[in-house]
Amino acid sequence: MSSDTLTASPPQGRRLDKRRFEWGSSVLLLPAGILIAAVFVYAVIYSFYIGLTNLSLLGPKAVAYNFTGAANLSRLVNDPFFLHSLWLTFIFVFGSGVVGATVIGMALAVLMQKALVPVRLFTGAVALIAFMLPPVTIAIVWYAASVPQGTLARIFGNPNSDPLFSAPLLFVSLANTWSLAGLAMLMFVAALRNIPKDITEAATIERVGAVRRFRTITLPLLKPTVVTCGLLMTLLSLGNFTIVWLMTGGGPGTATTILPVYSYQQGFEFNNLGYGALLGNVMLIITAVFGVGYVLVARGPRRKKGRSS
Amino acid sequence: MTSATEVVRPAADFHGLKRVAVRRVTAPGILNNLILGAIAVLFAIPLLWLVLASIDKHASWSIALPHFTLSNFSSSLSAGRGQSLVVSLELASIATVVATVTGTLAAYVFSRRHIPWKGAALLFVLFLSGVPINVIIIPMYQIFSQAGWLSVVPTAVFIGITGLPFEIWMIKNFIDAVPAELEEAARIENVSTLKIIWRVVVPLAAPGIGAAAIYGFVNAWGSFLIPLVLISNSAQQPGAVTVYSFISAAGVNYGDIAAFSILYSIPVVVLYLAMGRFFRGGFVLGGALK
Amino acid sequence: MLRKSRRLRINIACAATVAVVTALAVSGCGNSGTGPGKNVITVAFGSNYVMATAALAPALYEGLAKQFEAAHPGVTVRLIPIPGSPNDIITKLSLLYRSPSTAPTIAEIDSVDVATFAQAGYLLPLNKDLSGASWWQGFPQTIKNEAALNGTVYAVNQGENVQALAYNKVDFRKAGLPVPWHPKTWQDIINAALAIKKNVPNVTPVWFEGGTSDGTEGVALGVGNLLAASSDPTVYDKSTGKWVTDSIGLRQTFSFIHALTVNNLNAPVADLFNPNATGNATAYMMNPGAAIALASNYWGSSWLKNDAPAWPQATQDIGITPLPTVNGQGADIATLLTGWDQGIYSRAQNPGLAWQFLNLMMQKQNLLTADNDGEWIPPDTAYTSDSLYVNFGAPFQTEFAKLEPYATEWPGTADFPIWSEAFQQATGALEQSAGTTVSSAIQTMNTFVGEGLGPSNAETRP
Repeated sequence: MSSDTLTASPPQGRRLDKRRFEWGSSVLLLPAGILIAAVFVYAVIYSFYIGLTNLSLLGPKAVAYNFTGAANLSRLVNDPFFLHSLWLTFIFVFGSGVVGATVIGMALAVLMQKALVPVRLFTGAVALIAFMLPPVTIAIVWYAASVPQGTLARIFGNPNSDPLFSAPLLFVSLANTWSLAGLAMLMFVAALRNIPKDITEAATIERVGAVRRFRTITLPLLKPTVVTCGLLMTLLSLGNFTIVWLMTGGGPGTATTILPVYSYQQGFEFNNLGYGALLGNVMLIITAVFGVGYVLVARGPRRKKGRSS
Repeated sequence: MTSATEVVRPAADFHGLKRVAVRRVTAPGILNNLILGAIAVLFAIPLLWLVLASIDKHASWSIALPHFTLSNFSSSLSAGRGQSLVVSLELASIATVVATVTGTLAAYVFSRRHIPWKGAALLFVLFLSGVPINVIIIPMYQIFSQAGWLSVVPTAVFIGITGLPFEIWMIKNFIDAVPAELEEAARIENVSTLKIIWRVVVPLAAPGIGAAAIYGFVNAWGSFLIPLVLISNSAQQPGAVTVYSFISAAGVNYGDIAAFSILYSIPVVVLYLAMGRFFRGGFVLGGALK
Repeated sequence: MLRKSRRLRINIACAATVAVVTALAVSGCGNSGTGPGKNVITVAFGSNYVMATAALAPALYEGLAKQFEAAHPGVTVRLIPIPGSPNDIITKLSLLYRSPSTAPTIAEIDSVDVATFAQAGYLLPLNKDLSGASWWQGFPQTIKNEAALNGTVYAVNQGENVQALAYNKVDFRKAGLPVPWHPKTWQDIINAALAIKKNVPNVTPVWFEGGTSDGTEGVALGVGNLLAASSDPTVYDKSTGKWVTDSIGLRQTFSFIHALTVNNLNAPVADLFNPNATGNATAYMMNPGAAIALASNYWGSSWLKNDAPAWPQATQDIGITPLPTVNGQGADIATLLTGWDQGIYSRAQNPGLAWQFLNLMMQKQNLLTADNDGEWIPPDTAYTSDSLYVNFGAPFQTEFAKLEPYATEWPGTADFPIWSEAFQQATGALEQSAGTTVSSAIQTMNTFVGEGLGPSNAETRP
């Protein structure tokens, strides 16, 4: 939505055809601005600096560390685990977060529209509880679910099978999707409420099938929410480090060493704060890239159809 | 709201005409409910362990018929752990208020006012949402320890700040969908901007602000590394940290952990139900048709 | 309805903002950056993980604090309990040490990491004080060197863990194996395991923990002991300054583990790789049960005193025998040593007072209490015959204590975690899949050490 159509009264003598920055705005921005600057901006600058040093958590380089310039960067480029970690992160974040949680959230919301009240209430409650549980609990619950004699093994066949260690990335990804789908559902429920009923009713009268109705009418209208949700899920999945760490510790081997886990390991297990920070910076850049992509995708169709943001 | 069985109720004297009640159980309707129900059950399966273990005297990580006991609930709160739930409430409330209040103000500006390079600024705010915790924690620890802030309240403010970029972005989208014209009348009367925000914008964007607040609360509720590092008094650790006290070198106390986790989750669920009033009004998200 | 909630919200927000600002200002005025003061000692310790149960650590330290304050009027002892796993404890400690105002005067650090803290300059050299301490004399040389760098001692051990083989006599009799059992070589262990597998099918033949799930502790209490029992246990070559990634010792260890996996003798991976496997092992021995396990000294007290789980039958059913060296060479006994140490802050304002607290902790009665709480063996071998220790888990305590003089340590310097990770990864791959060969395990060692420390720091020993 363009706020450019608002007409707050500009000071006299200035151009009226161009939007101006009102200094009054800064008062409103100040509280948030100060807090964000104090924490994030400082932390990011510090992190980018540390990423180029050999600072350690412990050991001789804990206090007497040096700026090492591109040494960490060349290590990154030659690091076989980094690419592997990047790939795992892609599967975890994009697969289970963006695609998985968004699709399930949307499915839940769409199905809930026409469901019986008790079914709808039960589903909403379970999905939301899954979202609201603290990460520690989610990790424990899913660990209990996916080990031998655990919930999934007992219910779906062989109690001695070992889902978690046979397919570790799959199960931490499932845990991730499970924990985020509730939020996606909330967003789609709201978005669906904003779709005018007359369009879908008209289609029903014209005897357009449910699936086709969904595909040609509902889905395009949900597109902005899909993109929004996708970005949200990316950020939240990247932050779901605790779940992976507690379930598998990045293992077995390096099967679930996604980038947040790898960065933590380097920084806090191997004491390489410098290299760990560099890996963290890579995550930041990935997020930024994704953010840019989102803005481009979100803006494009809007401008085309003349809709305001 | 339609349901699987479509019922057209007879309304007396509806324009003088009488309707006939028709009951139709539609096939798509049943399928709809079945699929939804199946998904819901799949979601509930992992939670099964949580419930069973919490009432099991000999809980382990496997699922079994419980030796029924409620003692896990009381023992999980022993040794000062109940106190940690109170600390969690304190921590999360302060964090949520800090983030939501400052976030709403900032979101209003992003939505309504002109800011040079607004697009880039917005992206920058999003970018900040992605900063991983272990990156921030070390410089923050230095600052906090030098300022003498290694206690609950400053930590709570800090946790709120970690959720702030996200909240700004979410609330901004909701405010976008509130028609700007509604503020025109107030502006003409020279009402101050703050008043406009509180009286016009916030009530209309309430569902969205509520959603952002829930996100902020959940974010703070589950925060583990930050309180562990920044709160030096161990009696003041929140529940997310205390849950580790059930894990010792001798083994994991599964029954207590499950019971504690259930108790620990209750406040968040209560919060959601309490805010249900806001959500029933309907979200107005960015991307809605105007 | 909207009016009331809106007004309420505004009021809440205003009140909260005022409260936050006030609180920040007030709390900021309190503690500033110079440290606790000359008459205050701060003592940091792991509050829930280190001792057998979460209640023991606070109780122990509060007791010590009371004793000390009574003996030194005017002095306050402030406790800093640290929650979380060992990794969290180390993380928190390393952050605390970064600033003089928060650095603890006395800290409890695990033996694997203590050298790293010393290298960072956080710990006070103790040689002078120790030369006058009577309790120090009874420590074996290995334990004295545990926290020493180049001859300077930086911390003092409070309790140790050693490993040996625990075997189930009932299963052994069923399989026709000798009881008591005294294997002389590793081959004897494999033969016994094969016999168990054939004759007692419902029991897991062996429990030998490896892999990455439990960190360094997992392998130090598990397959790391095999390396210590091999023909060449060297991990770090002092003469070249390099870390060993290929040696006879490593190959022997990897072959043994490979043999266990190939013959399906080891416990299921899900149990071995549980993040709390070292804690769960005692329950596993009882049910479903393993015939031979690489056991730690705390198993006895776990079964008999701490209900972890309660298994009084263990005194009848479980026998202990030392882990033999690979070919029976040397004393035919080998075990690794891990434990928890106490160190003093290098820039403490009151080092004399701090030393006296350390001294108090190491007095026989206090030390034995701490050792039972932590399920450790007292570092002074003379104390191991004290009834307080022996009765805590008879007859197991004495059996394990016998091994203390033969124990060796891993070098806990700054780069060690990387070697340890490589070792964990290699053993994990061997335990998870029978397809992992010894050479690919060596390759894993080289990859991890090469990436973490640079290929020039990896060494192959003849």
